[in-house]
Amino acid sequence: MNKFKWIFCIIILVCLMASAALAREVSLSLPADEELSSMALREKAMAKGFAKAVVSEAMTMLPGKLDTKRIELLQKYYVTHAKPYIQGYKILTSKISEQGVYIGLDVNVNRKNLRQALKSMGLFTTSVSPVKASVAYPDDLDEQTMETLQGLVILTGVKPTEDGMPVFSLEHGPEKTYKARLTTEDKEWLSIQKDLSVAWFNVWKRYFSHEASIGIKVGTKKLIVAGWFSPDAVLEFDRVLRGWESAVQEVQLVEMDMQSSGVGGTWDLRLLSSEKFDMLLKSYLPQRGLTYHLSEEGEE
Amino acid sequence: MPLRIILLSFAIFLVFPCWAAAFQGHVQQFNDGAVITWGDGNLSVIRNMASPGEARVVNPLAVRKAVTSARKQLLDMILATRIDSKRTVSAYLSADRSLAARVRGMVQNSPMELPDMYDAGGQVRVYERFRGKLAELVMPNTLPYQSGIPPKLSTSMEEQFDYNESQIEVTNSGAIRYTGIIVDARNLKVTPCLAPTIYGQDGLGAYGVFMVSRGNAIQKGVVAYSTTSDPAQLRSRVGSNPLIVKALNAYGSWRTDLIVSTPMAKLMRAIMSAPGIAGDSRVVIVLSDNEIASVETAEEHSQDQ
Repeated sequence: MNKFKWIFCIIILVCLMASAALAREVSLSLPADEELSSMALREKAMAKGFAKAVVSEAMTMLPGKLDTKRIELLQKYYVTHAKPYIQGYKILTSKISEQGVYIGLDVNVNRKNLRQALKSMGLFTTSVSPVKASVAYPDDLDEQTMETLQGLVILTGVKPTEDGMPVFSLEHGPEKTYKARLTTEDKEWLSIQKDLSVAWFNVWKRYFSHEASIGIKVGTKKLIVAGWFSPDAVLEFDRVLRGWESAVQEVQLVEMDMQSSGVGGTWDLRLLSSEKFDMLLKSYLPQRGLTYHLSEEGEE
Repeated sequence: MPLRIILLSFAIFLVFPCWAAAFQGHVQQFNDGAVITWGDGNLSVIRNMASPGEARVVNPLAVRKAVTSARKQLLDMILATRIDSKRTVSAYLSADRSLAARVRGMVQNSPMELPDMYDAGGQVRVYERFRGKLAELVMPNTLPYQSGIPPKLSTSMEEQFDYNESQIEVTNSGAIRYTGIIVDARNLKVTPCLAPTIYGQDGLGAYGVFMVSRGNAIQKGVVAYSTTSDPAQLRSRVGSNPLIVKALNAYGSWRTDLIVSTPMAKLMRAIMSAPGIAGDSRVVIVLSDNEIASVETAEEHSQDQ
């Protein structure tokens, strides 16, 4: 019986310690490659590990779900573009053998920067519904470039149409560059880059920030909190709420209700983790004499 | 020991490690049962609710009145607290309106304890802590955290105090065995503050924010104030083998800083150079139990500016 008690005790301690860790753990293995040294193979595995961590973090942020193909393409994209979003990492395991490399990483992802990047890439919009656009490209495009372009179209969530706006057109630029142009009814954006994906996202970033992201409110909730005695307290809670970014995002104070009986506030926000948010609200509000109600957007 | 007690202790230690290790320390009393405990940095104000008359159930308006009044006093206590010898929190915040609004907002969101529903004549208690978020707001960014450059007084104190500890030999190997420092400043009428400096008689700083990172100053406090010099009771802060140093005098117009003998100051610097000592702010200043700490309102302090 005593033995059982100690095992139970250890399990609780491990659970408590695990819940305190916020970083994302990933592991992956790569088979040996004759053309790569073991160090180069290890570096390749690490780059893929970072990409995997960034993508799994991205999946918790997006309002809609991506299909397998898009997740695969996003991971491929982040193998070379994950660096700005890695705050730190720990190598948990690293085994190099004749069969290949196995690596385990504990990666800290910069959620704020990643969220901004995903918005720029249009994934916040197109994870909910695709964007219709005409895509034009020169006939003499080589196979690899064509494959990259098709990958970008799928990754971004563009549904190609015969005509209509917006129109994306790709041309060859000077000195082996790509000239990407995106035209809408009232605007036109142009980017000339050596890397096709950079040129692609440069123009679409402008488009999404200009038009498409407006009005997307999937997963939006309304939080009503009451019981304050001063408007300063509401503004302070607004700051606290914005700091809970692993549980909610797109927090916006939409109304402050000042009555003789007290002050209340209403927020629009998008839930990332309802369990975590519930836990945070319960640990913050009741001990300050505050009550709350969380409802779907538009619900009374 | 029953299993649930062991589990509870472990859980508390894991979830609130610094609280578990904290001690109350010197208690600065204010009017109406308000206190600052300078060991763990807690501030709390208690208010009795208005006489209930015949009503038994707690009246929400009475709660509001009591909480509002308690929070007002809590804010006054925070504003009246001295950051260092030069300024109070009030003086610091007067230069930054948005920061002042944030402190007000935090106080207006301070946790509280309410009486039971049927205890109409009961008490409310509001509290905050000079650690974490609040300390982040009231500790100026401009203090020379961990600069490693000791401040220097304009005049040396060598001739002012007849105190001779010149026999103490300072060696790094000797200093290594100490795990922290207890500065005995009893009967010196010291005013507790958030970032005091301890000087040697030679006028050179021996300990202060110049040795502590901003993160540690915010999370642990630069020093803790206590009314006991018993190392056993201060173990959580200064470790098992602290050096006990006698302060010769308090310094500054508000008597926030301390002067110790030059050899002791040298020994303190040597101890602080050991890894983890200054980093963990392992310094306790001992004040007299009956020392009446100065209590001023924020308005009086604003005249300092």
